[in-house]
Amino acid sequence: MVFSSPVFLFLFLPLTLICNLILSLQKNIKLNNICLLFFSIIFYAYGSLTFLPILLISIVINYILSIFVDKCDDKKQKKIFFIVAIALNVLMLFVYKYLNLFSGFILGKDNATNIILPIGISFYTFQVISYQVDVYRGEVRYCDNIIDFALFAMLFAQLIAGPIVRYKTIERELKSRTVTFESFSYGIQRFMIGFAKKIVFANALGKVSDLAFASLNEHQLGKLFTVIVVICYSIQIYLDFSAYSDMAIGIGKMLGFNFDENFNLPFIAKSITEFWKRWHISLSSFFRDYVYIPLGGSRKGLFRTCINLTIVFVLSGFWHGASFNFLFWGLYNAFFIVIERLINTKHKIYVFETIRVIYVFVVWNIGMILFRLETIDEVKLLVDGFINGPSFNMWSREVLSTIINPYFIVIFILSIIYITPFFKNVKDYLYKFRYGYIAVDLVVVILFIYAIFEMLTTGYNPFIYFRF
Amino acid sequence: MKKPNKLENIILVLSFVVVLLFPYITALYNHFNQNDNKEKLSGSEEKVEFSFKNLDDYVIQNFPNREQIIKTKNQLLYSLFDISPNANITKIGDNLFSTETLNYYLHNLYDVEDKDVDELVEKFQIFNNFCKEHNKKMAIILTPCKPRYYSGEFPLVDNLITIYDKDYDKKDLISDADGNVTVDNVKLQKKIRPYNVLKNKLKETDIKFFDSIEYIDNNKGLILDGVPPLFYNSGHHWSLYKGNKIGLAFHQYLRENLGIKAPKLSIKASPSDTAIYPDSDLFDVLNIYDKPDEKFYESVVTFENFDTSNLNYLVQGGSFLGSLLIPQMTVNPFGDIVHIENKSMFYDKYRELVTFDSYEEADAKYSLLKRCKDTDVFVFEIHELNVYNATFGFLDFLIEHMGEI
Repeated sequence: MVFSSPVFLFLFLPLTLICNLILSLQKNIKLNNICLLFFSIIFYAYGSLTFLPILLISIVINYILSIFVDKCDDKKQKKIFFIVAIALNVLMLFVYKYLNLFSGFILGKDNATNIILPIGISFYTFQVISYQVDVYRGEVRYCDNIIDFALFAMLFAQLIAGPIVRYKTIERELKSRTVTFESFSYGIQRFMIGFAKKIVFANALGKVSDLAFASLNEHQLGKLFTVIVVICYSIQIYLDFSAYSDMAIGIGKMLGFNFDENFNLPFIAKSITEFWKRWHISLSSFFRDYVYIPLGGSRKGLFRTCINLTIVFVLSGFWHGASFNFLFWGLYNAFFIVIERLINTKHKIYVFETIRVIYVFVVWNIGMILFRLETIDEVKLLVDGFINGPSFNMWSREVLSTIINPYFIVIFILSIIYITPFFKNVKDYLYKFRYGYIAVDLVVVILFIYAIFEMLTTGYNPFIYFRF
Repeated sequence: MKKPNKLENIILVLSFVVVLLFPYITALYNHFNQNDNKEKLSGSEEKVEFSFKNLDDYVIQNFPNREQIIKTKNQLLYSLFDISPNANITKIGDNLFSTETLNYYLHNLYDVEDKDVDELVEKFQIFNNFCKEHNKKMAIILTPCKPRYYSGEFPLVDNLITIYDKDYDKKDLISDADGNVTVDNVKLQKKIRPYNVLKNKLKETDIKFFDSIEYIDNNKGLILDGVPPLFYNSGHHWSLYKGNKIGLAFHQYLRENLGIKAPKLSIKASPSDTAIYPDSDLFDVLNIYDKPDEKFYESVVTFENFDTSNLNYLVQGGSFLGSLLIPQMTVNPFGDIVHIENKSMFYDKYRELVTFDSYEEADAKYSLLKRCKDTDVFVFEIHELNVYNATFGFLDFLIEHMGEI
């Protein structure tokens, strides 16, 4: 089930909210958690029934292992339980996500194992790994109730596309939470913004980039349109993923959970290093806390720091997808981060902020080519079209008429503005006035209704981050 | 910055609740008011059966007041952005086009090889010989597509379309009258349209064919000028009146070349308050509240004589065929007429309409071969954009069963 589907919006969400409201009023947190877990299982089963038993078994095993990790006094034994827990999760991720790739690579054929990637496995695995590590480190106690643990691991709000929620973030809310009218209202606003962002903006941009990339074999895009299409894709990814995070955070608020923010205007970053602190924050902080720092972080000299950064970004790249282009994408990001680290360590170079922002935008967008195109041949076709193709022309009438279209142009311009702080500033400015909130809410509700119209009238509604 | 007050929160929450409950409220309202959704949508879609796998699609298709939602959204896009809300239709200025037709015609995209056309003509030749041997007659009519007559109207998009050759003059992108595209690019190797190839091949045979495209070119004053236009802004097919006009020319051709008599009739265009199907077929599938903003005409037919041959007809082709059959459709002075369009068939002088999945099924259920046997004149319509798949397999069926005809 996806958030931007009618079954979720008109059936699943109202039912869940009503049940949650009734049980919250009765202050029966245990029953409330069972109820939310039940809905989460339905939510997951609707999209991936075959993987559900494995997910549930994994939850039980992780729960038991975490008790051993926590309660074991013997350090050696504790470590063994911990390693087993981590190994099991990594193995599950490897089998379901990467075995196909590696066996295909070794055997030289596509889809060698026929294993279908279960939705949300990357988010689920990382969430559970973070829990095991935190328990092992003694930062949190093991969860004393398997229902609470299962709810933490598979709460539908963040199960499929994140953010990666740490146990410590919602530990208290699993035991006791309150939904105030204000937080419920804020959750609604956040959900509606995410919903509209996804359906009205991300999908419109995605339509163009999908069309253009799909026709690469037949049509060169030319210089101008290569740039437009790559920017479309780059912003689509941002809007799509941040929309999902908005909806997850909004649903969380409506249910009484407070998830951390996952995006913070990444396109205003002045370096790639800063970009990654603003983009998919829950993933970046996962790698920082559970990979980078344990590897030594920046404490073991410049060379080792650079190696550690490279390892982190290679892993991060691979986390995003089970194909080698993601590996190159990770290396590509690592390259710039290492260069920035070297420059910042040895020299202090002053560059205008605007130029730095443009630098980040250009580097990120070029990286998106590696992110999107799975084969070297496709990359070559795109680059060839950019270098040798015409400046302002392109061949595909289908792509062109989708771009040279007043509706798309408006969406594109608004999306470009959206990645800047402009709308946030306007919102904050309006909030100073008496009817500011109503004005903002009115716009949000109109966009939300239009997004529903769009959802009900268009079949085109994929969710990019499901691949991960 | 102040925090939202209670009223502001209440308004937002209420709006959300109302939106989420909208389908239930409207379903109840419709139920108790016996509202059977009078708004109907044009164009068809495959019915989604209820199953958990298709639940989202099922809910979408059966959403209460979906018709109004679609029309409202489409009207918004149409009015605010002046665009077609239906991806299958392209709006250029005030003129609507089938997107596929436009793309194909302008860029010659269909993958039809010369050998495919050779094969088609060979089959027609076989069936033509069969007809000759069995005292039957056969004719083909070639029909045009709309963009052929409006190729100068696509400046913005088409001027940007490439062109790999830097010296290429953008205007040459649009094909000349013979369909030649002069772009020197591997993707555009086909310089002659399938229509032109077919026409040239047919000329080498003794098959009788009426090229309506050539006829229009030779009679521009009669067909392209005056009202109504050959194609309405809101339609994909030629206008009923002009199609009828071309139909008369076609029957004249049959008289002169196959000796088939047809009633003599004259046609006048008379203003009509509404579009006569399919004159505004593209506009209809935009599914908006607006009505097409152009003047429509109907054909007023006057018969001058009924000097006809009492022959049975079998006509097969696409959707341009209907308006060509003006004598058959108005007074039907001939024998029977069987009209096959893709997988549907009229017979018994248009009194019966049936659909089928295969010609074998049509034979088993509706005696298609018997009807073919009784046929005196076979007419095949080939649209210029559908050369390869021109007869939808019907010609193959006929050849396969020649012994039974």
